[in-house]
Amino acid sequence: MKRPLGCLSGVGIIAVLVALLAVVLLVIATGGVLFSPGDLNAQGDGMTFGGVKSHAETGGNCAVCHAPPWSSEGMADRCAACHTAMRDSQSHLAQFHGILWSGGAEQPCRSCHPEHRGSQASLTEVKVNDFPHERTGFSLAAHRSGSGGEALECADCHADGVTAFAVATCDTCHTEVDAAYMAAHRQDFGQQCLNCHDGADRFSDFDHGDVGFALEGAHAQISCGGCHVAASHEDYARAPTNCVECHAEDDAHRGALGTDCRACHTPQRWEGANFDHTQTSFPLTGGHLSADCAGCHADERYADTPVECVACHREDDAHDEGLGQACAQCHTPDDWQDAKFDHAATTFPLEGSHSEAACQECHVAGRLKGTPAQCVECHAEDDAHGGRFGADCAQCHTPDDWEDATFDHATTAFPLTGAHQQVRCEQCHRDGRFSGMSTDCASCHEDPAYHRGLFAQGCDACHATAGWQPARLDLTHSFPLSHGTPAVSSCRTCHADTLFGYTCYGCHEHDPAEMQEEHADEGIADIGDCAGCHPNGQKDEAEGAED
Amino acid sequence: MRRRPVELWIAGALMLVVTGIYAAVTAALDGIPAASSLFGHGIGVLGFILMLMTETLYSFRKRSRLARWGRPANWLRFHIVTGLVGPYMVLLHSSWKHNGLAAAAMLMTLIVVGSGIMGRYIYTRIPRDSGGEELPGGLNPAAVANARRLLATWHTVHIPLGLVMFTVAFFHIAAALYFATFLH
Repeated sequence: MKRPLGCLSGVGIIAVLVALLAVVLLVIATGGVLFSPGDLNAQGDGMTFGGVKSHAETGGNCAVCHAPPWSSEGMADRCAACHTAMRDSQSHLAQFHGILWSGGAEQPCRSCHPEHRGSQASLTEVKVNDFPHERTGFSLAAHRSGSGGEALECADCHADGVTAFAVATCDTCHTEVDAAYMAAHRQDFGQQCLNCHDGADRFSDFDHGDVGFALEGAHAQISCGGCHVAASHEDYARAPTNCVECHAEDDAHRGALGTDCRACHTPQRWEGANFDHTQTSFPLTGGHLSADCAGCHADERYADTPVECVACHREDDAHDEGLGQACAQCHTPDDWQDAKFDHAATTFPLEGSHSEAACQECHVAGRLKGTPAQCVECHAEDDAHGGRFGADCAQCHTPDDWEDATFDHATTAFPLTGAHQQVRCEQCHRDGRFSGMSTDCASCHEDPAYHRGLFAQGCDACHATAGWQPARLDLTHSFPLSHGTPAVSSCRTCHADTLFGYTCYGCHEHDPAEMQEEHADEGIADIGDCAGCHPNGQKDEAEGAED
Repeated sequence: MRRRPVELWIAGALMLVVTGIYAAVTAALDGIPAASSLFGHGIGVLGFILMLMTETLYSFRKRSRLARWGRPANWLRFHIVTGLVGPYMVLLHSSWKHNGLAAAAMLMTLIVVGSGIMGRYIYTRIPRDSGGEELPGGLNPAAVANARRLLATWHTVHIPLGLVMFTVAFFHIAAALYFATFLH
């Protein structure tokens, strides 16, 4: 700091001390009049309070009304010290002020009784709008102005001062407004207006339930005139209690649901009506629970609403009415898409691959009714036989698999037996040819070189379908087949390479060279045809043979 | 270059605004607002705060070496604006009644404002730079020296007058709180 602040300078401190001293001395000398904002009231009503007839008569003794700082008393206590009537419960004034003080925050005396405004100024200054009249039990909410719109003054009702009120005043004023009504009203309810009316157009002590119509919900919130429109004596005495008599214009259903509003609505509010649809013949489930009322009840029509699905859902019919109107047969109220159709109930139960096929594969273009049941009508393009077997696919095929065909060959002229059962169809039915097949063995089996052209009979004279071998020989065989031990069991024992020749060397211990030599000894040179000399296979049966 | 009295224009504009509000309230209440009313108290409290600010902040800025915010010339302008508008608001708070200590406080306020106006014109007779700091010499050194002496003398009177005014005002405020607020 270059220099001390002005208030801390010597001159400054001296000036403050001098001012302090001057004020203190003046306060002591004048008794506090120094603080007076103005002259005290010098009027009075002739009565004496605290020994004086007016505040001015206290002679500037502030302490009469103002307690010292160390006292627990306040200004109001000093008021009451002189104005003892305030404490007198029998006093109108006490009742009046008691009501004011009991209604909440205590109002200081000076809020209505200002002082120090001059010797002639009024000691009471209350503005009607500021006065908490409702604390007296009667609100001025409806009494701010008269019937002609003029502002009401205190004296309009309190002709004998604000602390007094003659109840007949109500009658006097209101009779001027509507004499006939007041006469009837007075006759019905008497003249103690304040027993029912609290000034706010509410009944303060009137139980509406006593007249058979307890006010509940929104009814308790509206003004009397909301129901008692005419506000006439007859209107109050015979006010309707049926909802519709007051609420006909509020009826969103325009009378379609009758007049028993209470069946769904409560006095709380019109919205949120609680209609129990389960009490009807059409309980709401699934998607119907979240539907708007008007979705089904068009034009506010509630009675005789049709319950058939198609009545509301005709436009929703994805089948274009092709499946009739029994929607519930497949659909539930939950979801259109969640349909469950029991195909087994139709003439075409789904089996095998049919149970896995998508609906539209058979029901082309959404066509459900009249779908053909013949295989070929759907499977014409799948016919590997090109139509040669006709249209009765099921004769061989099942819905399980095209490949897994089961043809009963026994029903044909050529039942499959033996090895024929093991061959594949096309081994016989070449080129996909099935009809007109020959049943001759030779049509499939070539005559073997072993005996080609030897047998005129059919193969089956010797062979069976169980196998080419063993062949059965029913022909006359010149050479005894019982020859040898064991007996001959196979053609190839003697006919090794062909039936057109034979050899005896195959099983016998005959050695060709030895036989040649042995027959040479007998002078037999040609031994090529053994059976020619030994037709029964016996050694000694040949002519000229040695014993 | 001659300084433009911006502070006087600002003060005049603010006083006009306050006057307009006061007139509007007076019309609405159909009478002069009492000193004890909400508006009367409000304008008195605001005016006193302005007066308190003009004294404390300006004095502190002039003397402090640490808090050197703003130029002294601008602080003087602020001092002049608040020193005119604040007392004007307090004058309106009086509701044109002159009783007791409140009247004394009001009188002291007017005296201090008058003293301030005188000081403002003595101040302008001393050459200064644009920041408000005094410049040595001048066209007429004898006249400048005389002005400096006059300003120093004025200071020794103006400051005690202000302090007496604040002392009386604090008494008035304390009394109002005691009687009207705490209802003793």
